Amino acid sequence: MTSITAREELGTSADVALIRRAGRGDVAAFDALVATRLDRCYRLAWSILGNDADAADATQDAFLAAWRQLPRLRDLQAFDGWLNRIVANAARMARRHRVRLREVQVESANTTAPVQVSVLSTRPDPSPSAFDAVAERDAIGRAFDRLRPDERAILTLHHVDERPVVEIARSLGIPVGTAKWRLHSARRALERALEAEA
Amino acid sequence: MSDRQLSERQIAAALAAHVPPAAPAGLHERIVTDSSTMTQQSPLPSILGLLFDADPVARRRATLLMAALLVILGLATAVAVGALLEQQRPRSIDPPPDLAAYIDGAYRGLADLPAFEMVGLEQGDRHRIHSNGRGTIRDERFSVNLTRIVSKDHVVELGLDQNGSPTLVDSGTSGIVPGLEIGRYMSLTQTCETPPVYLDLAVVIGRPTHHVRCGPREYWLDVDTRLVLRSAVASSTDPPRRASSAGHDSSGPSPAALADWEVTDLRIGPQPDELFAFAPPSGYAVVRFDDPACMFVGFATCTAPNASPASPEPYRTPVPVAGPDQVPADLDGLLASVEQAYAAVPALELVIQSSANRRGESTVFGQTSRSHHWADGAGRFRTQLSDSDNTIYITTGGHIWISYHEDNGSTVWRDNTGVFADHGGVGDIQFDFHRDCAAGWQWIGTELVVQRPAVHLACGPEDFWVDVERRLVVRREVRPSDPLELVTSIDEVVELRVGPQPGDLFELPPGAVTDPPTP
Repeated sequence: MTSITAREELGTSADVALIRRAGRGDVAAFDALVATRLDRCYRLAWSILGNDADAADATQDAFLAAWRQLPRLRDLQAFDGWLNRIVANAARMARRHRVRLREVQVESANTTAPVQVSVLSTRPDPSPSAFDAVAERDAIGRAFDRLRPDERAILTLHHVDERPVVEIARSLGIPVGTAKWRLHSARRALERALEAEA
Repeated sequence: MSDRQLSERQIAAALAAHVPPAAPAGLHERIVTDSSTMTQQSPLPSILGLLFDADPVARRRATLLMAALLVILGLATAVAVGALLEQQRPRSIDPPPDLAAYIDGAYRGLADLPAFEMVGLEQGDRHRIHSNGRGTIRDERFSVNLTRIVSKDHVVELGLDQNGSPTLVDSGTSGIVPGLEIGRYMSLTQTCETPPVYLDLAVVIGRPTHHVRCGPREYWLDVDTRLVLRSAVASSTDPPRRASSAGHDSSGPSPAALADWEVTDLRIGPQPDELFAFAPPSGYAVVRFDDPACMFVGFATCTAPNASPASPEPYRTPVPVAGPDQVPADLDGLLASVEQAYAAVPALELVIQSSANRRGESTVFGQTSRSHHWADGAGRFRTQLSDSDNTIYITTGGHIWISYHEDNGSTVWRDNTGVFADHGGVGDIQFDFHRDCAAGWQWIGTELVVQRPAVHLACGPEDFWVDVERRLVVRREVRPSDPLELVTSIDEVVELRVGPQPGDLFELPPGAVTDPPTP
């Protein structure tokens, strides 16, 4: 985690220059900003939406919104948190829109049903050694899909994109303490979902 | 609690395998292409920019902030409009529901007089009074051809000296709220001796007034300004008469009431600034209160200088002693021990400094004075004042001898014993301490006076500091109980030496001339 933070700090001044240029309408600068952030933003949108097409659309909407609004961003250092919030918001909006559509069309148990959390204390101990590594990853992946969007988003930001909690808090628009608690809570939810999945 | 504990590495590995590693091909290009054809929004100034921010959190915050600002702005507008309407609204002519509070409010209102010009008769002495609405008053007394301009910070008098030459006497600063002087003309006091009585709604000089009785006195309080337009006192000896000379009254004083203050003209509104200038008008000589010549120009202010010294001393209050402090277990016993201490004052020498402090100021107000005191421990006392004559009081053998310097240069010691005994003896060092306190004694703390611990006690507007060891009062402060009086008087022991004193201090000098002659 330390190396990532240091890398981010090193890249900050160059990024600020790019952000400033992009804010003045420089498409090439914006191109460079997109290149270094697209995958991460896409994963964030995907973690909330759970499918590729919606995540791609939400990511595109978010970047275009960021492009339009960039001249109005005053604190250039806060660009990443600002962008992440736009992505998360676009994904949430898309999810809300999609749920409304499905309510009209067909009820989907996978996406709209509440997560069933059951703790079976009598279940045999599933120690890691008993699992095949691939099977375990699949199980965790399925358990991940059962989580709420915000839980998926915070786990993705932390465990996949290795974003520091401070930035996660900024990205989700919540205090750092709340972000820590939500991260902890999401991990517990993942563990419970994993057991339910098993 | 879940049975299954996942490690960071397990979660990270699983999610990395589960979550797409990269955005789909072509998304980057689509974004850049679309952005190149999309116009960016121009920056908006501060709060407006935030209201339209793409970031929903910033947008929500800005919206809340704007809503809060609008609420505050609305409240401020409502308050301002309310105050304006209140000013314009005619005051009620109904009898005040709480008459005592109404009269008290009229008295306190003297501290915040509006701008006006008033002509009034104070026991036949005609005044023209101007108020600038900012705390300065100009009072012209026609009978003595004297004009007094007074604010809280400056007092000057303009008139003619004994030779008829125009003179301005600069008296420095004032110890009272200027409006109090007008209150004195009106004989207005803060409280009534008996519960006030509402008599009627009366018209004086064409203005509606509340006519009230307050003890033996009647007031006609202007409904609009609460100024006293007429004041009368009941008289059992003078024949009844109507006091008004202004006419058109709906109500005169009650039978047997004699008006001693009557406004004959009142014009509310701004007054010319030049009326309130403290600078001497052209052709006027200036005499300061502390100039010896002042004593000969015939102005009253020369005898009561109030000016601050050139470099005013800071006003200091005693500091608490270090360490924990607690209420004396036996406060009554402490008070009794003070009385006992003055019943048998030990041999000592002390110096008392008398000064004053004006409310809210950090420096000493006016001049300080000192007096030197000795006690021989056997009931004899000596007091020496720091006045120009170094007046000495010697209390011995049942006499209080005072030194008088005669015009021929000799000194005569006159016996001040009896009803005129305003100085001398133990009273000079007792600071008017009294064991009884109608308001109830309050313990404040233990503080240092002359580097010695002293118990700080309060009784209404008076504070006393009692030396812990000697039980002598070493400091007293008396705050004004009148809200229009500004000055707190302070008497404090600044030097204290306990021990035998030379015996000749307590005896008249050899060959002293006494009046009456000593046997």
